[in-house]
Amino acid sequence: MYFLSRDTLRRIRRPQGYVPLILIIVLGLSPLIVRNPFYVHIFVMTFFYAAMSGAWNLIGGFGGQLSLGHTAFFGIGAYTSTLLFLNFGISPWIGMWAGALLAALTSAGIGYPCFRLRGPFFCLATIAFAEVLRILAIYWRGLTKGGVGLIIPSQPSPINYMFGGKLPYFYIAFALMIAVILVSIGTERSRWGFYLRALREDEDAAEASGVGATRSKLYAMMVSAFVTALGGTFYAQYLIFVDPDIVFSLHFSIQLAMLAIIGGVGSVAGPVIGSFILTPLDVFLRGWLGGLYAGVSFLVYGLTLLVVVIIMPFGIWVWLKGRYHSTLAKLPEISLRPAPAGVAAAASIEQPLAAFGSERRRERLLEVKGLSVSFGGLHAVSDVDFVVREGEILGLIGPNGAGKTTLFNLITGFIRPDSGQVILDGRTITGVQPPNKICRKGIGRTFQLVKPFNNLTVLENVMVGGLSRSKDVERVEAESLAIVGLLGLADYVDVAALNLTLSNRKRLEIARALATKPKLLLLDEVMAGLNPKEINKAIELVKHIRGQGLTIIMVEHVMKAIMSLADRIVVLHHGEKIADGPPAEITKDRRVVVAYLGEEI
Amino acid sequence: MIQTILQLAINGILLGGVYALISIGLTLIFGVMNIINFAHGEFLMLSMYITFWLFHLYGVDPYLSILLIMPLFFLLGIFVQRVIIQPILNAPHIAQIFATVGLSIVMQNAALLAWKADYRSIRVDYGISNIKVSGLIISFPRLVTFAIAIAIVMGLFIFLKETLIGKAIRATAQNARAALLMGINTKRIYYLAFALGTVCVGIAGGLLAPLYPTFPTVGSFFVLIAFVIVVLGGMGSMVGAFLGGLLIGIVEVFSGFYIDLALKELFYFIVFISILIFRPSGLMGKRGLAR
Amino acid sequence: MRSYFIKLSIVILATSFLMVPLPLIAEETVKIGCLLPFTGPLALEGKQTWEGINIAADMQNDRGGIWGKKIEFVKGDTTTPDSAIAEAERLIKVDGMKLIVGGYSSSRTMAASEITEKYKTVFWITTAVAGPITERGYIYLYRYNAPSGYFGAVKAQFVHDVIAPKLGIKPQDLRVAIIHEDTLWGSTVADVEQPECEKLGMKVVVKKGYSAKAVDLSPLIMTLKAAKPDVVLITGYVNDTNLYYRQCKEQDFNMKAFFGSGAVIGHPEFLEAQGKDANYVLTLSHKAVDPKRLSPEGRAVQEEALRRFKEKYEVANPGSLHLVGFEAAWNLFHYVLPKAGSLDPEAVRKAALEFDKPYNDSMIGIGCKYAPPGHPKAGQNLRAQMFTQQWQNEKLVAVWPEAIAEAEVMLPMPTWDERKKMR
Repeated sequence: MYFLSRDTLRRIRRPQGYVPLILIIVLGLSPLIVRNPFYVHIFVMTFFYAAMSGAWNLIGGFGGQLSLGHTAFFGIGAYTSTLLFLNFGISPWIGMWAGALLAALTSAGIGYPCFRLRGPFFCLATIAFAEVLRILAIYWRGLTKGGVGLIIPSQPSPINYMFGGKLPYFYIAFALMIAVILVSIGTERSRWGFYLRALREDEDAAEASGVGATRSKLYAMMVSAFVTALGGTFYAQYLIFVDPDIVFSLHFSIQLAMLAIIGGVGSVAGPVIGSFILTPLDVFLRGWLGGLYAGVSFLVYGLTLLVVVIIMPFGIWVWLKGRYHSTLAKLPEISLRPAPAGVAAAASIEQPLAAFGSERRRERLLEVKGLSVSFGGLHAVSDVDFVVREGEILGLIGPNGAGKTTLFNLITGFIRPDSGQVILDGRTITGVQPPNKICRKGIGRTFQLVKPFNNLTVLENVMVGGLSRSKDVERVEAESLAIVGLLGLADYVDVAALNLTLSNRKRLEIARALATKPKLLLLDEVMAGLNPKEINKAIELVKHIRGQGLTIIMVEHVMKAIMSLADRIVVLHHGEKIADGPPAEITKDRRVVVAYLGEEI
Repeated sequence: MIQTILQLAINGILLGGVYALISIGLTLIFGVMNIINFAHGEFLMLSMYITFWLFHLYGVDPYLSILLIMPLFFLLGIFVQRVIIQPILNAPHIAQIFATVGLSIVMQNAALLAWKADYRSIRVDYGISNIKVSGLIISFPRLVTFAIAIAIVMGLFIFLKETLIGKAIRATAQNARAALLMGINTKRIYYLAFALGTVCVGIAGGLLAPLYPTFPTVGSFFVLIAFVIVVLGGMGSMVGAFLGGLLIGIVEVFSGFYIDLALKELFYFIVFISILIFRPSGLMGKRGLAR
Repeated sequence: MRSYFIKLSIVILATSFLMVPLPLIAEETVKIGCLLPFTGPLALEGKQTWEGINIAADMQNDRGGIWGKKIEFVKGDTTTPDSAIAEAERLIKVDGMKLIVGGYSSSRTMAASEITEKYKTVFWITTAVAGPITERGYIYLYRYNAPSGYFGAVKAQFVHDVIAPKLGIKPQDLRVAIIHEDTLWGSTVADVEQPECEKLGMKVVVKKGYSAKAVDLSPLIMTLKAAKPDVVLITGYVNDTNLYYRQCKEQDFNMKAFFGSGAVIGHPEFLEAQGKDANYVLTLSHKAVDPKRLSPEGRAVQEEALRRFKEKYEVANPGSLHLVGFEAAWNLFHYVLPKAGSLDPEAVRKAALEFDKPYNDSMIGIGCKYAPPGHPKAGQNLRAQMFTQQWQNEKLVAVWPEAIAEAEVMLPMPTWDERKKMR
């Protein structure tokens, strides 16, 4: 796992590492100073909500799926461990794992059909699921005692997960919070974290780069549900009373999301900050103002939420992060002995693309036979046949609307064909979906309108592609650096993609596709929008890539590029292939001329 | 037996009319601006309170007070759009949802502060009157509500289809950028859409007041049903919201009688989830909810 | 010379104005904690209980307070059960409260009572209905009202003893329907009503729960119509009970007797919502009983309390929660604390256990004697009871038990058509 390496020790020596560590230790020792149980209770609740919100953040923030139904998992956790304890005498310490597993499975059941729903709709679906559970909890009185709720008789003892004093609860909540923080850090730095970030940026581009959208999100959802359920057991044991309105409460779901949002959604620190500010605030407001007039404290709370969301929609952390890091930069590093200079990067990869086009040399790398698809009455692609040989550059041209991009989409798994076959390297891949599977089989592609992961850096963009081939983040980082260099983007390694010029974004798109180590690269109008100088450079680049052993299909309108690059050209018109041959032949072909220029000439 | 089924059907349809009325404003806003307004229930609550105070202090008949509420809520819609919705139109989904959640909390508690938690009922004779037709009972105020719901749906439908502004609204709903390029002042359209949606819910409040008491959290009883209906009917479709409302009303009443009233929410949530999964564009919607 | 004296007198006058407020600031008060849901879904019930407690405090303060000091409350808001814990902790550990009044909502009371018992703080519960509250053997809590099991048993008994004969139907032939809202309140009462009715030989033809947040109860009413009950027993909250009754009229569903539990039907809101149609409806709850049945002391307290409710809160007809809040608090402020001599929990406990109040000294006709430690219901007011009342001529009158009855029960209820003709 990522942290147990020597790397962790290196990290701790830096202020970014030891400052949080010191804070955690101080926090952990605080009960020795703050003895008043009221304040200890505030800490307990703060840790608890930080943990729960952090768990939510795994799917809501990192995964980008706004769930407002997390109370479902919370309730499952609370009820499972409590029922096992009351009916079978099983210690909640054991029961809580059962609850967590059940919650994780339930979350998969909810997530799988619902992930493809857009933001607000996914949100509503999760609310509905949680409500269903709440109603069932009320209705199944035989099991849950319905609205009456379950009382856990007070028998303090460690085995019973019940304690007389507050301190044990403090430490359990603390441990839960730390665990969630560690899981979040691990997620952020792991391959899985990359995937989730890429998915949040652009799901199609991520799929094309080998990221399994459903798989990644499911994973995040299940971990999130698992931890939330553990929290449910904790709460049940703290309150020693469980009823449907408490543990299946929409308000609770909203609270979890709210804390993360105010603190900074999608970051590790966000939920923690959110909880540390809002939980005590809630308690104090109620203490101060609650006595005044009913409703004032919540009014203030609601106004705070409104203001933060409108002014700082990405949360407080985004605003704070800069200051935090610049303050830390002023602190010294703890050095024991001089660390060896970054070794990893030096393992430079001379031929990053060398792994391609090896093994069997097949004449026909890609075969397309009789491929067709219609949308309503429109025959977008109609009975298209062609072959691509290994190592060649095939040009795919035709007037606008001829079906070129649709053809790409058919080959790469974005659309299912109505009929026909696509055979890659001797194996049929017709209709294989989702697109990430095609990517893993060795086809990489770019998009006509470039789809970079805007908020990721150039390097991170490319790494997403690379991670489809290897789980080793460090190695992928090194390989990606090399590819970035190859495509002339070395100066922009840490620049966010959205800040690049168009021509650089196109290079980035290609770099990302190359990182997936494809056998076949599909380029969709990479020359569009480039000035003549940039076009020349791009032509050189494509030649170089082919020289490294890749096979390329390129859709283009820029004739100069096609003529100088293509070994063969296929011409599409109204979805049908009308010509197929070397460039010289194609330019003279009457049908092609007519297609482009019309009959009269 | 037939009698029972017919009575259930009548009850279901009329109840559906109430639900539909509440949802119409929401689907309009949803359709044009893609915003889920979690504070929708609170607008309903506000309208009910205004109706109550007009009745209690000045003896204004609830149905008449709707005439006063309409312009008031139009202005309210514009105000909320300006202050809260406009700034978050391009914010991430999360921020949009939570802005309206925040608004909902603020409104609920402002109401609690101003008017206390007591239940306020309006007692008018026609509030519980009914019409008896060959042994079947039709609730009068619900019939009125139903009729007005139809009127509003038809009115909006014609407005959106035939008038220039209506078409501009539809254009903006379908593709805001293109509409902008065609010279439509999309910002004004958003104001109009939100204001219209708010007026609809204002009318709903006035019609609901004789049927149901008002208190600060009354909105939360209706808001989830409204969302279900909007999705069921197809985002942005008035007719869809109406039909969706009827469907939910009927499902609720029939399942409440034949199975168990305690499970009624269960049934329409199951309907809701099924729609989201199997037919995301809803009954009438043209725009898919899937990516 | 003169100007000097003028200046001096001005200075003296000025400083004397400054001095006057000081003794008031320094005046000592008796600080008592108050845990109630002031916000959130139960805010209304919390407010009413609070008003009752407040009137009791005002009355005692006007009599010189407790031990010569005025009563001052430190509020804790139990919006949610975990805030109940936080607030209880705060009141005890930060604000130093040794005595807490309040309750309402069983989940919150259960949670808070764990804290109060742990820190040996007296928790003077005015209202909370869950049976288990006083079944844990806790010795620092004292609950004034009757638990929900009581409601169920008494209602069943009343149906058998009074309603059946009045309707001229033998109990074995009587058809009873039980409907209830589905949280702890409704469920626990209904769960006792059903077996009790059946034990007394009556037929329970329907027992159904519904959500208190329901917007439409017509399917329930149609189910009832099909079952043709004679008597309908309901346990709900104000909102749903009103909705139910309204829809009964709307759907033309006639009941021969309609009997509710607790603060709901007696609530002025019920009358407000139903008008004349409220007449003939029965409820088992509290009310300010007929002064003729009370002792002189009881009468005096009642007269003053009712007057104050009207003056301070504009409540002309205090509901059950107002009354119970008042009574429980009044017992504490007027009898128990003065006897205890201080806020020391042990002294308060002793005084509480010794407290013995006959029913006719109480403005709501309920005596008080707390079960001692060791008793299976330790901490419960064993004299807690409720009275059956009926709306007659838009007034709520007590009809049972005999000792405080003001009028005869009027049954059967007229049908909706008959009511229309009566206007």
